[in-house]
Amino acid sequence: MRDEKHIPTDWSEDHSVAQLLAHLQKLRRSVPVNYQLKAELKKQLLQRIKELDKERQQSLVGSRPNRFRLVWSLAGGVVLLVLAVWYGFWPHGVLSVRQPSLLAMEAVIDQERVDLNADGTRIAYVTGGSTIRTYALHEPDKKVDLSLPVDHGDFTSLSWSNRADQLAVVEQQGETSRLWIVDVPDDKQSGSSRLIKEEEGAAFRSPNWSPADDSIVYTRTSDGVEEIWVSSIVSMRDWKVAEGSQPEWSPDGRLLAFTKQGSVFVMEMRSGRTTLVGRGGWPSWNSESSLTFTTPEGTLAEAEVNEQPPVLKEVPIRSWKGGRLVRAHWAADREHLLLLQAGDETENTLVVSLASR
Amino acid sequence: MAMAMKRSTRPSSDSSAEYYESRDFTELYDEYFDRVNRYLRCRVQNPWDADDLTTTVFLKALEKFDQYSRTSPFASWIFRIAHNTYVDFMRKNREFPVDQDDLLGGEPDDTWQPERQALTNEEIRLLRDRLDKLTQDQRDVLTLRYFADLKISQVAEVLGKTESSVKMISYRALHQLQKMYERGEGE
Repeated sequence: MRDEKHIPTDWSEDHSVAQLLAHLQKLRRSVPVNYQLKAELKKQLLQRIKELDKERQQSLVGSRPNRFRLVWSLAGGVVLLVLAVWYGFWPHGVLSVRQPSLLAMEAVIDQERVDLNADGTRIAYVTGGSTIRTYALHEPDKKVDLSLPVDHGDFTSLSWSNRADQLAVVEQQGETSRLWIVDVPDDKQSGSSRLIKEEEGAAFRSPNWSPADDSIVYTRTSDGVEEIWVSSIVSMRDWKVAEGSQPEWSPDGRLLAFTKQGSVFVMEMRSGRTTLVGRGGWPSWNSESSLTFTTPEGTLAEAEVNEQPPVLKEVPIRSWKGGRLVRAHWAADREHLLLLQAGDETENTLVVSLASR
Repeated sequence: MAMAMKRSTRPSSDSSAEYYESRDFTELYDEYFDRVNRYLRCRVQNPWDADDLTTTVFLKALEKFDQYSRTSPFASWIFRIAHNTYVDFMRKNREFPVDQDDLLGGEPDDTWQPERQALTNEEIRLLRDRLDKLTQDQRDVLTLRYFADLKISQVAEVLGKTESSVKMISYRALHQLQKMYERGEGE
């Protein structure tokens, strides 16, 4: 090693130090390199280089006039002011339905096909089985359809990321299940998509992003067995964490809530210690230590999971017109709640509403 | 008029005033991936975390590549990112406990280098235990010097220290490590 010449003379003559340097060199060569990752990451980087080139070209074409931007900023400011005044009159912390009947979905299986973005201002849902549609809640007429490079299958589940405007989407085509990440297009970037995982003979469902948006946890069903797996979207590795379904990470990433055999459980990620919360399904975190879930009776329950055993209580929802609650899912801001209610006349339809506190 | 900078497919010596790195990002990635991956696998216990960090390093590097001056060695630049990424990771203490057998073994695929077979996991574990007994500066210097294979000047640049300071830290660290090996500490 080169350092031999940098070591003081009296020491470099010491044979044992030379042996140590040789030993360190041998150890360095023996640390394995992940060549599979090297190949996969290179593909990912090449894709990103293409995207960056495209973005640069678009920025060269020219941006919108500043006057246009100013008008939008003013309009946004007015909307924010109105919202601030409006919400100022409501008592804080009380859950109320703000936008009832946002959407009507065709079947109960659609309950995973709709989600709110991080700040509860935008909704995404699957329509016609194979189209992902999204719009800002204050502009319901401006809908945007997203497409994937391969669209032969049906989209069965989707989930908004916590920070960026990205969706995790599950595509099912016959026996093959695929997990995609889709960038939602906006003024700054065009939509693009990336295949994260593909497997034949298994069905993926209920994807959910880690707090740092660097991994996705999801249900993997094979031969009737439901398991919870995590896929890193950075290293592309995946691993099983538990048996169950409908996983959701707590906001601090410390806990994972999931459903198994009609009950909600919480698992501590570090130790793997699992605690039964109660009968029900679709757990969703409303703070770092509290989650809500739907009960078999169709109501919303809240559990403080720091208490042992967890303390449960029913959550009242102001302006809720009744009906069986199928799923309730909090946006990443933990202020907005998406409510999925079984239709009045037939249980095989879903009505989607928005509540907030 | 200033003399035009010399361009070549390989950089000239980094001590040269005419150093210019003309290779594109993918060429540099091909060359430096192994060193970065080895460095992080040496520093982080869980190999999955090390691979995640390696990915993060190169994604960050790509996003910031416009900021790389090309007149200084790429090794210093990429390892500054790698070292900072490692420090952030340790600060957040995101490592999950893993079975120690997973440290180097237990990988079901066949993508590893054949040389790994020549060394027992025990030797690596022993070295890490002994490095843990050194100071943070000593660990940083030794791992950058001997596992990232950086020159003294590059280690100094990554850590923001003078070359003489790095030499002294390296000298003392090697001396202490040698004593630990002689005493058979941790065995």
